[in-house]
This record gives sequence, C-alpha cells and structure tokens, in this order.
Amino acid sequence: MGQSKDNQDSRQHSLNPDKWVDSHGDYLYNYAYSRVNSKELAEDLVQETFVAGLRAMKSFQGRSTEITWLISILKRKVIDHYRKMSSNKEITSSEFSRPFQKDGASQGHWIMERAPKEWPDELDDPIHQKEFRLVLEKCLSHLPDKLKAVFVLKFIEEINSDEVCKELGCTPSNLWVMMHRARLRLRECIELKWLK
Amino acid sequence: MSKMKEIMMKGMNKVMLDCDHATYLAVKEESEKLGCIQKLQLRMHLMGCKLCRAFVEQSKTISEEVTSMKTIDPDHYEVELTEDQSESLKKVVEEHKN
Repeated sequence: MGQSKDNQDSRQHSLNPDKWVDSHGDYLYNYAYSRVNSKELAEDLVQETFVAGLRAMKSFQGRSTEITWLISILKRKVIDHYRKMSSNKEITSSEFSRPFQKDGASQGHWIMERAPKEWPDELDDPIHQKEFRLVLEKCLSHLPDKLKAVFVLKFIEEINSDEVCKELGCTPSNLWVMMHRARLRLRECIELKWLK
Repeated sequence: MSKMKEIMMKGMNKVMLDCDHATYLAVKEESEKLGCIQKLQLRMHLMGCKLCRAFVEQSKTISEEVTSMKTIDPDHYEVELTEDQSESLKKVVEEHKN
C-alpha cells in the first residue's frame, strides 16, 4: 500500500519483490525526484534501488517495513550519486561571488543591486505556491554540483555534518561556507525569477 | 571624532558582524545550534539590519517550501511513473530475482 510510517508493532515484516513496482514504485520515484530533480535520474535511482534490494534480501531482518527498508537503500543511492557528482573537477564555486562588498568602508555589506527585495505575500494561494515550487526546483537545478550536493545532503536529507563531509570530502567549515553560498545563490536566483 | 570614540567604534566593529558573516550564521542556525556569543551577535545584527532580516525571512520561506517538497504525500504525488517506466522496472526486477 506504500505506507511510509515505520510500524511500531512487533510483527516480522516480509519482502514481496513482485509487488515492489506496483506498491512502492511511485513513492520511491517521488522520493528520488525530490532529491535529484530529474525524472530520468530518479527512474535510474529507483531501478538501482530495486536491484540492490534484490541482492540484499537475505540481510533483511523484518524489523522495519518493506518501504522503509527500500527507502534506506534509495537514500544510499542518492548519497552515492551526489558524491560522484561533486567529485568532478569543476571550476570552484568561486564562480559565484557572494553579494557583499569585498572591500572599502562598506566591506561585508550587501551590494545593493543584489540585496533582498521585498517578496510578495502571496504564497497562501495554491497557484502561487505551485509557481514558487517550480521556481525553487529550477533554481536548485542551477546550483553548481558541489553546492547542490551540500544542500541536498545536509539540508534536505538532514545527514549530520561529519557524515556529509566524509562523503563529499570537505571539512566542517568548508561545509558551512558552501551551504552559505548555496543559500545565497538560491535566494538570489529565486528572487530574480519570482519577481519577474 | 575624539580618539576615545574612534577606539570604541573600532572595537565595536570587531564585535559587530557584517552582513556577510551574519547571513553565514543565519544559514548555519537553520541546521545547527549556534554558540552563545554567535547567537547574540547575530540577533544584534538583525535588530539593526533590515536587509538581513529580509534574508532570514526569505530563507525561512524557501526552507518551508523545501520541506513541503521533500515530504512525499502518497495522495498527491508530484510525478508518476508512466506505464512504460513501470513495465521497464518490472522487467528489471524479474531479471534480477534469483
């Protein structure tokens, strides 16, 4: 049935691979899509999850539900994806200059053209909320690989800092520097598209 | 400005955060607890800085939307597998069963 709650009962849960696609396909697909923002990639990750799940069936102890177990595998695949993606030698994220004055008397202050503008208060309206969501998704996809990885793993998956650093090969202070850049860039991108 | 005042201003500038640093702490605070002093410094900066307050507000809005995005509601799926995708996945499951 695709329930996502981990049952607290003491039943032994079992696995039914024949029913995986029908019972859990959409749920896993949506989970993956919300983490990687690409239908193609999401499908790949779901497929990898099923394959890994079939290989790991013997180690399933029945203490969690089938869907919980599958999601934990999918989470792992998401992490692997971002680890691979962010290890690409890319131009460092200094491509994005932070929106603050670099020197002078106002060093560290907002550069006025890039400072936060007033946002309309309309997000209670479902139509505007949907628009906002699309803008957010677009802007997330525009983040440079490493910043996107940090944002998804730290903020969306809520993995603890040490583990994120282990996966992405950064120091804890690097992590926050990148998170800072990611959120500044995200905000700026959203504002540009949203206020158009 | 008197020398004394100048020294005090310089001292204050060391204690007061600039917007770059303030937004950095604000971002960190969304996921982790800040140290006492940093927390205080951030609050003080926000009290006097309208732009950073706006940043924090907007960050919150974004965070709420991200939370909504990552919470999968089986009654309102954002995307759905097509017939082809389902069939393809079923084939893969079939192929890899032992």
